Amino acid sequence: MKISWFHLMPYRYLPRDFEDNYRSVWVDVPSDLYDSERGHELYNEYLDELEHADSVGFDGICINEHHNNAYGIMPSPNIPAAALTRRTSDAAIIVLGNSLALYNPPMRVAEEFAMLDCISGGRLVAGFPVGTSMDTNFAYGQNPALLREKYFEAHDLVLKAWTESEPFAFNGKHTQARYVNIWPRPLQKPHPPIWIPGGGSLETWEWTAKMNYVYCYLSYSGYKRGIEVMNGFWKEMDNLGVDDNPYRAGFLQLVCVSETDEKAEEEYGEHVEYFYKKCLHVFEGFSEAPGYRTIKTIKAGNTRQVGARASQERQELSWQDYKDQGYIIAGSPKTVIEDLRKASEGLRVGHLMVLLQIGSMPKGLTMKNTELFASQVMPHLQDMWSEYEDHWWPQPLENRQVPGESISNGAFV
Amino acid sequence: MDGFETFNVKVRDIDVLVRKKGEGDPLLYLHGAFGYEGWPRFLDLLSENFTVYSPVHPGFLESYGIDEIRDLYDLVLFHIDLIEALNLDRPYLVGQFFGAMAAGEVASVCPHNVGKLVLANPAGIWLDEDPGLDYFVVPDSELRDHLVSNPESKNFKNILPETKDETEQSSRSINKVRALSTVAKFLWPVPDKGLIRRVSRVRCPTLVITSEKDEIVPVSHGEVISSAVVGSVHKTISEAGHLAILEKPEEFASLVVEFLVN
Repeated sequence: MKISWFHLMPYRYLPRDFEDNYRSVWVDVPSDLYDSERGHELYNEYLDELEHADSVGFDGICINEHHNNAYGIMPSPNIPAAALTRRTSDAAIIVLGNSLALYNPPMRVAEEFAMLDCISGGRLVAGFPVGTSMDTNFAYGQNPALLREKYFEAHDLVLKAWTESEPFAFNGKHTQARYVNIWPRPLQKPHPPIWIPGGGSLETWEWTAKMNYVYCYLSYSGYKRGIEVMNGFWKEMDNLGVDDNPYRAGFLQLVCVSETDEKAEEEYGEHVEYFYKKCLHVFEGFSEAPGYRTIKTIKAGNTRQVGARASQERQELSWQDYKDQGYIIAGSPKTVIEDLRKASEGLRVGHLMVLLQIGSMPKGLTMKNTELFASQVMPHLQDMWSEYEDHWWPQPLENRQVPGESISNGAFV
Repeated sequence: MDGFETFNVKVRDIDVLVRKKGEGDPLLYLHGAFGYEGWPRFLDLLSENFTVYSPVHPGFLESYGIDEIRDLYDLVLFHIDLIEALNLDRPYLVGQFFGAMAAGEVASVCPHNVGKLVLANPAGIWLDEDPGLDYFVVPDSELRDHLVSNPESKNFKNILPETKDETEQSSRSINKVRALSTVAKFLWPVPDKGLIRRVSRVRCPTLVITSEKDEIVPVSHGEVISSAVVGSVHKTISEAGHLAILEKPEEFASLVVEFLVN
């Protein structure tokens, strides 16, 4: 099993009574709640944490894209990704991802991912989420009735830009260009592995299977509900005649490791609360523009991650509830190993991503969580799924440039 | 609210459900984003003086084929083709909200094919200082209250009755998503798609009707459109909200009839 360290980059300094006084952490959260000096600290700490994860042996480090919100201050993931190419050496750089419909023209995604792949020596995983309704429809004004169509067209253009050797014209509905011919091209051939973060829409399952991409179920409803959804996913794969290689799937799990189960609650409780009560405090009206989810998916009833119903379900949860329902996996290393194995088996997920910096969690505790996880939990999970081959992992150059070496080795040629 | 006939008409590859009642000159009613179901009283009143055609817009209820209408240009052509498919000669075009924008566009593009134009609570205008409510973000449970001036009125409770039946709720919810995603296709995220630049091409008598308490289309939007159409008249129904057609059907119908008949 591959284990990756995911950062959401939350804003840690929302006021104590935030969710009582403001309707949403996303879209119309007041800008005066953002302090740029805090932002300077946060971005640098968070990049330190991601770099650290590489140095302690996580297989990958993950970042993502969201707009207009305090849940995660990464509207442009390619910026931290670029920083990470230089200051990490082994981990896969998993950009989850570039929300394709938000890049005009989509050639920009093809180009930036190609640059990231080249600079990193072939360590990039290219993520293409459709993007949440908050990000796409409300922050970026994308038409909900046309979003998916625009996303698929952009995807086709990016893939062609990566793989077509001759300049070509593209006569799309949303993008038209006469000379598509990107320089550079990705290092990995035919292109970096492609992962699709999704929230449970049926069309996405069918499409990721058809395209042979990884489907990452990013859910905040806990792994127990996640298992129900993934059961549906694996059933659909079976219907489509696709194998059950667990590396076809990814999942993000919140994890808190401490010396004992009791200490985990003491140390992590308030930060988990911050995450669920503040970071996911999304105004119902912004959670799903009409047409964002297809009628087919609505009828299938896969629950939304945000919005009134999701918030309602999490309303009065205690620490034990969070654990019992799988929202978090927390406790001593032994507890965490047990629960994570169980979760990973139930989900049948080969690409486990763990969230070790949660909500308001400060640097010191994040480092502790990471250290404990890396040294006492991770080694006991990596043996899972060893009988399967991961066809969706970067294949970097063996001999990669080390930052600075071209100057430091004294050969000024 | 009975005695109307229902039939289908084909507009290129799109099957449009149409309701029809009455005698006299043809009146084509283009509905809005809300209150488009069935055969409400105001249409019945209009059918006493005209032959009223009320098509169900593709993307709403049983009319499919919205994928064939890709953009505003297609939308305008669709309506022109619909008029032709129904064999209507210089019909009176009466539109409400989203339907009013469509009616305004048709009358701008084909000024000589429209007898008279009525734009009720028209969509398609944006004023920074008076944008109107973003109805797309109003939670389901609250939306009804924003559509009329007095949500507590018995009248309203009868027109848009609430239901506890889960299947019915689910079906309404799906219909609402379909309807609003169709409206979104043409109005998202800011509803100004250029109507104000074209509506001066209208050559027929024009009546703009707004509602004093319409949260979605401020009275100021009616002023803006009316100012752009030479010779047009702007009337405001008092004590009425966005769905004045349902809240004040007699007053609405009489404004329209008086205008069309004179």
